[in-house]
Amino acid sequence: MDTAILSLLQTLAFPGFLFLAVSSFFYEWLDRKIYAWMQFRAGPLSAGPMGILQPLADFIKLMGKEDITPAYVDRRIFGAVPVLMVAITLTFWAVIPVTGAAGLVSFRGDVIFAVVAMTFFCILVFLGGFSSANRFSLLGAERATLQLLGFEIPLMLSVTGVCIHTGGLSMAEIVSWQAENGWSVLGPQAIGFFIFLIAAQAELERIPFDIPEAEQEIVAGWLTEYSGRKLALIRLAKDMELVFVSGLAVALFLGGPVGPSPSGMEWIAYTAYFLLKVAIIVSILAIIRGLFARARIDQMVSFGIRYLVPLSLAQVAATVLWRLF
Amino acid sequence: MSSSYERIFDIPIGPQHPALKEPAMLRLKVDGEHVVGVDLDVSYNHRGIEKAAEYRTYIQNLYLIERICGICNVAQTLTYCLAVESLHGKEIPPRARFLRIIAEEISRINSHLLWLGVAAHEIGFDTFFMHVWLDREITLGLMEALSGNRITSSYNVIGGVRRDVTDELLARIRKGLDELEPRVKRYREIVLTDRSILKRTQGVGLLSPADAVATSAVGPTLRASGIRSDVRADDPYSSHDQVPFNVVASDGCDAHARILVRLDEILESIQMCRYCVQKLPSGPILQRLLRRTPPGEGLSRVEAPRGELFHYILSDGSDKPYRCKVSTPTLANLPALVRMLTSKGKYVVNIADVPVILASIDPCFSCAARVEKSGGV
Amino acid sequence: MSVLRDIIERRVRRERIRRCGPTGEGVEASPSYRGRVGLKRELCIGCSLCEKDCPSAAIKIVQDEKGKRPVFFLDRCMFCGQCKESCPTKAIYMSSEPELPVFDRKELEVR
Repeated sequence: MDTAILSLLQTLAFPGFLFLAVSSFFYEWLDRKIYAWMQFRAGPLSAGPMGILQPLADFIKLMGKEDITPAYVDRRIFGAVPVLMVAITLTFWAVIPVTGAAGLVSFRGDVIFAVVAMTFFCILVFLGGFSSANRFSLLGAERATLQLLGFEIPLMLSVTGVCIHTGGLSMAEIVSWQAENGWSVLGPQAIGFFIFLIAAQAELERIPFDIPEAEQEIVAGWLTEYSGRKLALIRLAKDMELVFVSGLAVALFLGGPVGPSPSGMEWIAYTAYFLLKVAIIVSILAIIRGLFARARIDQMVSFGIRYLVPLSLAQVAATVLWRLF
Repeated sequence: MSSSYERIFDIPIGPQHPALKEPAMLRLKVDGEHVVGVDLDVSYNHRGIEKAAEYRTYIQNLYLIERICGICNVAQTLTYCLAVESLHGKEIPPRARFLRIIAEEISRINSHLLWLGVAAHEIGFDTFFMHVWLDREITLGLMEALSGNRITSSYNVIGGVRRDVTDELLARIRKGLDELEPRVKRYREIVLTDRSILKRTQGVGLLSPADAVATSAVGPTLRASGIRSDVRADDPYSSHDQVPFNVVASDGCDAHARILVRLDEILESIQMCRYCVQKLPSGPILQRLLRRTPPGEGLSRVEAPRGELFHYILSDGSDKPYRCKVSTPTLANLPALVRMLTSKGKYVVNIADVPVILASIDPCFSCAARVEKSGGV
Repeated sequence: MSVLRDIIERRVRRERIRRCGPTGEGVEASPSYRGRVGLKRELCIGCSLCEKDCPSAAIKIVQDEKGKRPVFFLDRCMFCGQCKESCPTKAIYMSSEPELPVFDRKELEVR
């Protein structure tokens, strides 16, 4: 009975849903601040000290706005997409290690489980755009699926490289291996890390790959018809996905949350390491966001297939060779 | 959605769209991601300025004409004043003419920097946009010191300029230009070498020289297709024949060439301002003219930042114009825009290219709203 | 990538970027700014040229104890400065006050 209540508490509060939601607000703030710093702007300023409550304020504001559903949409899919996005991110979050080498849930093959989350997200983006009876949404949905072609394979291959390198197919094994043998980013996985970050930027639909929601071309892309509570949930899901992908990168490449800590206080120290490392990844992603113009969809897919795929194949080959000797 | 499958459908860019700074309707006919045709309607900003001008005196019209377009307000007032002064037939003092050039060129730098930021924003490069607009604060400060306001300067009046400059102000202008020049050179370098900008602007919005002449393009749109035509050189007004400068043209014919032409024009304008500041003649700044204008027709043309700007005034001898007609550069560039937006043969226009092409002609739909509807060319 | 060099250079040089408060505090207008219109009553001769030349009909001539004088309605004014130029005795001036937000329209009449 005690373990059941403990598990419930862990799932709902820490390191589960509530932790994910709060940290997603924090990391959205960090992302916006770094992006603004690069542009000589201030970023969020007035909501809370240094504007740290701004993402929460945006969420609350959107929840209170009118939720308009256009007449010709496919109601069930249109309404289900935001809820499913949040639900899927929350579900897949369970495998990310936060307080130790293993996440809330750990089983052999949970790395693949985590990567599948990203594909699911893209499918939901497509459904969301397609079910809104709007030309701009249709274009955005079409671009999201095309973009999937570009980054999916390099993403999988970079994860494969890590699995070969550390010899494990579950997060717990990967993190423990790195705790003993050093972070996997030092070594042939440096290239893999770089590829993973680029593919993550494409999956999260951020500049230079925010093509499915390119504001200047197709208004808001697949998000165009969403407003009010649905939009609030979508934005929350996007922020949570940022933390999810960063957490995945931390676990796979930066050694996960483990590090030196006083005994007995492991879960606090490990969570602190996790937050710090995720902040590093979010900062890198925010810096990439500020440095480039938006790619065109045909350029993005050709970049993915022409450069990223061979590079990631080479990286896997290098890892195999490294492992053999 | 109906069950019949249509291959080509319409994407409306406008009247309200994040890519547009002013309302206009571009109805694109799209096949997948390729644009195969466009229908243009720019009547949304029609404010009846030409009719309103007939009910106001020449002095009051100065401010009405100034507000045809915010960013080319110096060019608009300059053209208007030149047209009215040609009706009076009196000479404008040389100091006023040089001061007019200084104001005109500072406003050209301002307009091109604004455009560069907007173009960067259209390709999604918000960081570059913010950096360029931060540097634009230098010229906005200069304009404020010179004329009293950052954008709507009200500097040109009929017969000369409104305010004189002190040596202190000239020193400030010189200092501002010195600060700005290395920044613009740096932006030129970035535009030439940054891969993400090159990928979005090279080969996009092709306008061959023959097409440019056939669709009567003007301004940097024309000069980026290799044709060296600039009103300041071809038909000098207001002492432009005494201020040396180079006509900037490029053979690129695409959006990238237009960016480079405008950046080089900024550098030329900086040189012209420096020359005028150094060689400023002394004397009066205003030639007082009668309120009642002699009857006749006054025509003037000026190189506005976007191209050639015409004003025609028909005077009947009273203090109000009988007819005032304005022909703006964006209006002249619209057929070229339609030509650039149509995919033909090997030249393919993606939807993602549409904001880039639109931005590359530097559209000012407020100026251009002179007609009801502009069909395809 | 090229903007990275710009960002690092400007941040390293600690270039002073002018910041103002959230409601516009700290913005200084230069002394040549065309701000709030004012009248030096002793110089005004009541010629009404300002009323004739105002493009937005923001000036009304009224009678007071010394004769005719203009009243400026700043909610119609476009701050062009033509009244200042037309005045033959230089009685109209423009201060460099930049912000004129008010809660009561009566405060926008310069009598």
